[in-house]
Amino acid sequence: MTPRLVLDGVSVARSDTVVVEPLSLSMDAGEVVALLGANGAGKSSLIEAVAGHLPIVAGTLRLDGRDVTAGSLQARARAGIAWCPEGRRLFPGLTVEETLDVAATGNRRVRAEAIERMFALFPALAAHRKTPAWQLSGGQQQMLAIARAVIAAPRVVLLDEPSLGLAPAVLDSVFDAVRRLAEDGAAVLLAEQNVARALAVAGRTLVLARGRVILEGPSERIAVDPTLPGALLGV
Amino acid sequence: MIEAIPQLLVNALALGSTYALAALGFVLVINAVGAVNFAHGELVMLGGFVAVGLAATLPETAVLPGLIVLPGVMLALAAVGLVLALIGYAPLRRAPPVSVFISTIAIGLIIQHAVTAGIGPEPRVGPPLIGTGSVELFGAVIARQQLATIAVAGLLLVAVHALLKHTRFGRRLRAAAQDPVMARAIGIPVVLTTAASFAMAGALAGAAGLMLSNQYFVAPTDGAVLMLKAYVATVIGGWGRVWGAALGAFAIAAFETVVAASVSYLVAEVLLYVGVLALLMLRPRGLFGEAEGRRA
Amino acid sequence: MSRLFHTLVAALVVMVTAMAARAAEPVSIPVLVPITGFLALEGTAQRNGAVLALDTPPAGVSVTYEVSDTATSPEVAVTALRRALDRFDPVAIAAPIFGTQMLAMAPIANRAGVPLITVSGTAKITELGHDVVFRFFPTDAVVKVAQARYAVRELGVKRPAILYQTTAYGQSGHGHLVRTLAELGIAPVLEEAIDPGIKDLLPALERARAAGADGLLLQLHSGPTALAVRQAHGLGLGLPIVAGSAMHQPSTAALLDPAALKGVCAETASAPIADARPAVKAFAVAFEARFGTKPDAFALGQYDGVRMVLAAVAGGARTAGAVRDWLAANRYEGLAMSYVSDGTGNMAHDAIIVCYDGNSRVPRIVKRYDAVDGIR
Repeated sequence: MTPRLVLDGVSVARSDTVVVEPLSLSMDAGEVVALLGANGAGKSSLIEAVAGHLPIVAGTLRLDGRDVTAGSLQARARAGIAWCPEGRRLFPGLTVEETLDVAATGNRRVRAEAIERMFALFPALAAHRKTPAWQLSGGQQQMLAIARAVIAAPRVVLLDEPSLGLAPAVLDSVFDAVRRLAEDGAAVLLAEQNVARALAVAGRTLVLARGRVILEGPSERIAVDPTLPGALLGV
Repeated sequence: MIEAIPQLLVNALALGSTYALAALGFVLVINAVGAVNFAHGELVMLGGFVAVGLAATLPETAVLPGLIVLPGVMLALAAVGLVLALIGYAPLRRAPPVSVFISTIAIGLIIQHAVTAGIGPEPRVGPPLIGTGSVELFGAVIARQQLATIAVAGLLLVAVHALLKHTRFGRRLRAAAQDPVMARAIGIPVVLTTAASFAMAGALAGAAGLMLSNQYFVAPTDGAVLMLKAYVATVIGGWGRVWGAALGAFAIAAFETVVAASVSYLVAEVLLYVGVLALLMLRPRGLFGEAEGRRA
Repeated sequence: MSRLFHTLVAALVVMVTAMAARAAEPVSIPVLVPITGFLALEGTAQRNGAVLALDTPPAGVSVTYEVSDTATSPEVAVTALRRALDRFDPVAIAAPIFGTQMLAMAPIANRAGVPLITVSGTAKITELGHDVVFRFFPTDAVVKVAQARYAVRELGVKRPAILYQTTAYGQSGHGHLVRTLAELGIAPVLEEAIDPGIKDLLPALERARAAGADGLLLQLHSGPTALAVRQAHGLGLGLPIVAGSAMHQPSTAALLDPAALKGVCAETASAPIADARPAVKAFAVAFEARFGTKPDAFALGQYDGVRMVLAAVAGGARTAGAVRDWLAANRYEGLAMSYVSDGTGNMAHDAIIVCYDGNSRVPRIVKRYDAVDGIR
């Protein structure tokens, strides 16, 4: 079976500086892969490159076997790569319902059904249909950001630090949602600072430091690896 | 003076409708592109001149001359709006917003001088939408053109508000204005929505110019004054709010008619701006608050 | 003998050729007027009048000219003036109607000794002691007096309301109107200052009605004048209106239905489209054929001014100083009126009143006021 997402020697640059050295990764549908590492290690850059927001300067990116390396942000979105960026970046003036409506595809009936599915997945949002995004709490905003990313049933979901700024009580719902995304068949690539939560939800984990992969493997093994703390500090 | 109140109110309503119509395209671009287009007043003025020009091609006895040329005027100004977007907005969309202020101010000046040099500096009178003549209403004389302006303004205000608030297309416009990168990330063709917004704003400016040019005449220097009033109306009502800008427009018109009739034009204008300052001190976000907060 | 004869003939031929060449040498008369900006209407009229005169010089005179836009600021006007003085060595310059620009240009022209030919109405330009400014349009001291006198003595207005623009034009006119009315024993019942951007004049008209006005005196620009006339007509105000010179301009009348013009009169220096004299009619026809618009008093005044300069050149004045002296000393029979300096450069001293009959946009000349300021 063709892997859902394949990065083959992918290198990423931010304004002429290489921030991710050639990296290879293969993900199947239904997998959750975690990216760990200190700030500036390259996690966000890699996520943004797969999303299409940063250019891939070397290597290829394949989605279900199809080469999408040259695609733009919009093209990748239409191909089924969804991006939930760091800091959420919701549309401040749009309500919960309006946000989901613009992200959903299909005719009015299909969109309405998709919106209701999201409200079933994220009950906390259902009570705030008409609330503008800027008035939601942190946890609700994260729910909405994830819902916006996944409402069109994407094949790949990219999550950049979804736990950022959230209270522990809220984290359960967030990571529950991540698990369900994978169960529904998407390949989920998750960049995280919250090591424990990430290791718990992901099947595999990569640890990045200064743009390179320094640890890689099944999450249970990485979790007990003695070099993990050092790796996370970027040492 | 009491007997004059019905007439003053009727005039306030007609003048306010004119200003609201002129402000509409300006507010649309704020909502749909996130840009402040300072050439909008000149687009309205240009619409007036295009209306005058097209009407001159009609036979003398044409009925509903304004209505006949309206589609042509809106189409022409939609095209101008697109060119404006291409020259004044597209190259600067990643620059700080003040760059677009300056580029559109410059384009406005270019349009004004082009009209002065190419068409002439004289004020012109445009075609009436449905006809000349007036009717009596509650002791006030109201010109048919004033009635038509009120109707057209009301219709277009409702249409633009409905477009932005109640249609998917309108929501996508607002998303593209509020965060173009994330809009692209969910598949919205931001380049197309931006172009469509400028084209629609141009068309609205054209309609406003046509209505204005008959009731109040049009001269190449009118753009700047209109722009100022549209801007103040938008600030009064709450930045980005369609009905807020309309309310602001009616407030300005009320000061220029009812208040001016009681004191004098100069005092009325001073009172208006003192009022605006007081409003901004008490409610910095305008009467209805801004269309979007900034916490997300 | 034969050799002497041939030498004399040769010398004669050389002398005559040289004299003919000198006579045919073109003089330069640059045209510096506002073609863009808020005075573009009047500036364009100036430009057209000057150009028509410069293109039809009297026999034996050849002219070169260049037109420059002075736009809206004194700096631009001064720059244009300096450039014209440097490049062309002009004998005279057609100068902007804009008083503020004239005030900035006059000292420089004075130092260069080059006369400025203008139709500006701003009083001050001839009051500063620069003897190079020649104004071919009657000042407010002439036209406003005519306006007030016509309203009071011919129309019997006793309680006039004055609507004037907040600009320098409006304020100057307002001052002169009030002074003249006082001399006639009349006090205005309303004096309302109106910003050029105001579109609804109902408040002013209502206040005039409430104050018991029996006549309206307007000192407004073209668009606002038309708005005032139309709204007064729409309200059925029924008051006689004597407007400023903006009302005589064909472009202003073109904005209105002829019916709305009934009972409306205006002061002006001349009205080329209404004047029955053959020379003026010929000018109006030639003007419209050339420029596609009908001429107004500003165009005719500028035309007359430039033609007086050309007459000076034809009369032998070939330097700026000589032209200046000629203009200061001579009387000239122009198309609009007879021009002669009052000693400070004011050349025009007559005004007329035109009135519309409600059937046409072409007014009739109903009264002449000659030598209003006492200069004949």
